[in-house]
Amino acid sequence: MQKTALLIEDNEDNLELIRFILEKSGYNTRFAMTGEEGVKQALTNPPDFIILDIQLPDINGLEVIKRIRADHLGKDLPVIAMTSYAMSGDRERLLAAGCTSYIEKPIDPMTVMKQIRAAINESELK
Amino acid sequence: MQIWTFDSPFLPSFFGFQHLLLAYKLEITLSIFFVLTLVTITLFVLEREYRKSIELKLSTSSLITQFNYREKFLAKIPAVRIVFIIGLVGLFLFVLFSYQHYQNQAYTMFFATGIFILNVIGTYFFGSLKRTQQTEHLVNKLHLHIKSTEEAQEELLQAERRLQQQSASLASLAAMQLNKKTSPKVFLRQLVRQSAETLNVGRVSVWLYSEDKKALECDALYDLETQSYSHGQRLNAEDFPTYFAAITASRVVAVDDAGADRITHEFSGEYLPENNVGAMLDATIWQEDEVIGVLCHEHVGETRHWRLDEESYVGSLADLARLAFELDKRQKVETDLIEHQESFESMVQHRTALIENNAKLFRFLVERAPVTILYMNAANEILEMNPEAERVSGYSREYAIGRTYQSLFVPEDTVEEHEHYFFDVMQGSPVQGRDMKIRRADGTTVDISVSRSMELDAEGNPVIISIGQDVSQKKALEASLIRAREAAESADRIKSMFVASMSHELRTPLNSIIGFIGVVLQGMSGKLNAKQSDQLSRAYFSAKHLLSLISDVIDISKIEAGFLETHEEQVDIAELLDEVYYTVEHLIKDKKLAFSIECQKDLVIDTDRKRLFQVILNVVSNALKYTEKGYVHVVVKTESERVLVAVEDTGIGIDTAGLNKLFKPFERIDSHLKIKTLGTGLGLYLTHSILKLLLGGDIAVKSIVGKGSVFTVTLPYHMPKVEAVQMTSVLEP
Repeated sequence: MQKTALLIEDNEDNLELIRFILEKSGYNTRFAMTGEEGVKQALTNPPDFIILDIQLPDINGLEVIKRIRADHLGKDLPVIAMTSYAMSGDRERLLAAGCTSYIEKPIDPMTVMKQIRAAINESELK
Repeated sequence: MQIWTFDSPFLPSFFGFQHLLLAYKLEITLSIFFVLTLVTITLFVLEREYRKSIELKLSTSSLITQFNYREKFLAKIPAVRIVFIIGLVGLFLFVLFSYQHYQNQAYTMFFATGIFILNVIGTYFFGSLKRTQQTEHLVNKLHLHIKSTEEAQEELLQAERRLQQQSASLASLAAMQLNKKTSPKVFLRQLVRQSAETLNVGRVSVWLYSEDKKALECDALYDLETQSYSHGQRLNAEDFPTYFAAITASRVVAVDDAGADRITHEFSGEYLPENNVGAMLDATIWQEDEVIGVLCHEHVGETRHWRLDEESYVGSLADLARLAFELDKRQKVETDLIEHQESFESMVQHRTALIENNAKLFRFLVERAPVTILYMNAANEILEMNPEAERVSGYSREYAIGRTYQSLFVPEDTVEEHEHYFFDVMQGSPVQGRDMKIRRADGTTVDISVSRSMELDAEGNPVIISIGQDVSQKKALEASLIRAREAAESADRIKSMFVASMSHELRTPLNSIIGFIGVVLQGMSGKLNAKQSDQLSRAYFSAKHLLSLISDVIDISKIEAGFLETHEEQVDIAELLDEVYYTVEHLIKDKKLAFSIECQKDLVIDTDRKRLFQVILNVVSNALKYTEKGYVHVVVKTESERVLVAVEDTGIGIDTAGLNKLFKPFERIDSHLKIKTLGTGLGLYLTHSILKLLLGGDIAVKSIVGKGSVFTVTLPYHMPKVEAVQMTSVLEP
């Protein structure tokens, strides 16, 4: 059965890029272009995992993770954070907030899937 | 009647000249008689003369010139007397025998009577002579007695005369001393002269101890014969120990025979013969239980017996000398005292002037000082205030004096606060630069910075001195400064936000570009021909280069603006180096270079992992970039304070000019090899900045052109805390 990924990303180009890579790799995708919408989708219809852009127009990625983790439906969902140009300590903050994995942009199509698969498997092993 | 018979047989036997004797018996008898009579007469004359002489002696009571012959004769009187008696007895016997016949008995009787008479007269004169002689003895004795009495009287007279002279001399010296103008020097000269004249001593001198008490120095010596003074001789104590001991031990030392006496024997070598001294009489001069000198009398010529009165006189002179010194000392003290008094008075005058001057200065300061000065008593009543206080408060000095501080200056809402300050001040803790609001006369308030302390006035009463500064303007300035700072801070924040968002805005489209090109290059959207693939690769790497360029520029601008945040954590160097290796693994493989890492396990330092990674990666990438064949070695060494990461390569090397601009921005080393490499020209500059400004480390390089380079990164075990301006993370709103 194909796994479904929820992509929370406001930039259409990036959304298209990651959607393309995931679907090419055999995953179903859904998307949300705001944080609020993403949280809503994640909790009403939980996907298998979430790919979350940190910079969102309404609420930022940290808040999204906190809200998802606050709900019993979302507390074990693998959430892979994605950010361009992170600052020192951002990674730690994201992981502390409950992020499963962390990917820096720009994404490399050759390596990004390895990272995603690793994150999902790690999450399932828990 | 045998006696009268001249038949006695012994006569012829005794007298051979019996018939001769008998023949001249009358002549013999008469001549003996005559001799005896002559003797008697002589005795008579002698006795008369003798007696007369004694009488004369008695009457004149003067010495009699005695004739020797008579003296001799008188001494033989007993012998003469015996001869005389023998003569008488012989004559009597001769008469008795020679005139034994009765017809001669009348002669016998006659001569016997004559003999008897002679005997009587002779005996009388002998006795008389003897008595006279006894009388003479008596007279002589008497005379001697008288003479000794007279001598004694004479002696007494002389002594009296001497005493008179001595006391006259002492009196004149004492009078001289009373005249305070006489200095001890002059006085001592006078003293030695007087003493020499009074005692008739050849040399009189005063010797004083030297400063170190080791010698006597002659202060004044008077020579009676030449009537002249001299001084300056010196006697070392160690040369004359007995003498020095003697003068220290007694007040007066009298030496009759200087050459023989034990005390002065030490001088007999030179001093005595040189000065022809026969006797010495020394008196010590004392001052406050200490011998300071000697008054020395040296009798020139023979020995001399010093009389008690002379000794006593000399002693008195020594006392006078002592008195002279003490008077002089006292006079000096008096003079000093007067001088001190004078200088003290002038000092007092000077001080008074100074105090007046200070008071003037002080008034001036108080009046002109641009601070408010208040002077209050313990009840906080104003005692004094200065013009600035008048200006600031709006109260006149006349109005304020006598009123309490609280009633004048304290706004109603800060009464308690002020009471508190006053309490502290009265407890002895001064208030320093405390900002207070003060009520002015017109009811407005003014900000004053007040320093207040309690002091004691001249009477010991507590007074409060309050010094204030009008800080209204300062406050206004401060407020505007705070506003300005807030504005600047917000501007910083805006800049920070701008940089952060710029980084995002610039990178977001690039991320997409790189991502999509990557997808297409991977053939995910369909197979590409070789040309398409090559051209897309170029676009891909250009985009990547642009991204790293943007990242570097943003990093540098953040570091320079001081708002690049660091995150300290424990970093295992070996793990970090492995990570670097994986990152550059493809480059190593492409170039077929040897690569090694030499690092001890579990070497952990506290630093910013991301930044350290950036640094090491940059250095290692550079080494690989500029090395075409050979190797790249990474060697980690530890020292007590730091960790060294050396990256050694066998690349093109860097010349001196290159080394100088290596860590400057936008400098790329153009080697003669013209190796085309990708780079922003910011890499080493950024590396250097990160190390120096963020991680507390450094980077150094050694290189030989054509042989290779060694870049050494130095890191502390603990990263310093950098006060970075809080950079707003994209994670925060």
